[in-house]
Amino acid sequence: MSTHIQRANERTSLPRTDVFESREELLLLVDLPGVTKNGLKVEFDKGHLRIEGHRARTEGEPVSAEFEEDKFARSFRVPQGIEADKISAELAAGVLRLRLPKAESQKPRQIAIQTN
Amino acid sequence: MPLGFSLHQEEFMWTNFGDFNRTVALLDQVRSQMDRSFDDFAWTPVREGDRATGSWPLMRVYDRGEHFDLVVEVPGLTEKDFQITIVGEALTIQGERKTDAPAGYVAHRRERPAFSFSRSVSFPEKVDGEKTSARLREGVLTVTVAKAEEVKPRSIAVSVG
Repeated sequence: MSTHIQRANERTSLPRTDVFESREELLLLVDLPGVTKNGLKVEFDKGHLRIEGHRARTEGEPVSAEFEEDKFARSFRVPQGIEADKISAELAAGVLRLRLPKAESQKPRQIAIQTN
Repeated sequence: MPLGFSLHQEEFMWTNFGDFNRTVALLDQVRSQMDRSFDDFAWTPVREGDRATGSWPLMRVYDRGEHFDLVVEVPGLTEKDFQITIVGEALTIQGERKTDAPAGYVAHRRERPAFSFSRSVSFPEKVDGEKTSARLREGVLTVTVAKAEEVKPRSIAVSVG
């Protein structure tokens, strides 16, 4: 069956990502259409954030296909000063939102000037 | 009263960010070269020209015998962001993809551009536009379009004798 051949040659795609930064956090938005919670793994280890998984397959053989329903993976090296245990992930409408809060020491703060 | 000043976002140095971005770029380069060796089609960034010629969103087409299924990637879109119309055998999906930077954030990397799109596809067989349904789940739109009665496959009873 051709599906076996396809699976053997299955490539891993690189999901498109936007990276934003605020005073409080880094925010990553990742396009993952067709991906459910069960098909997604987000890991943080030794300063690397890794997103990987697979999308749901549509039944049957397409007569035309412009995208593959394949595996995806992407790694980011996260700068120091992120509170690893407070990283959160939310998946909605095929977009993953990853929030990486900055440690207190990295946040801009107001410095009071003492006057005598 | 003590004087005070705040460090604004624009002046605030996220010291390691350059490293972060460079690492991403390097990993991407390696990965995209790997991808290309398997398939030239791999995640080519959407260019202005692509949208002008209407190749977004990407689709998979299934012939289910009695109907066609169009499976369309529309990450981040809600049902209010696009419109589907059928005229004859041509189906058009048009709308707007908004991916603006959230308020209070600066963008370091943008791979998800915002744009308006319009894409038309023609079916190889006559379809019945009245019998079309669409559902949106997890950023994937599935449009089911019934074939016209005269082109639907039918089984023919064989009589013996």
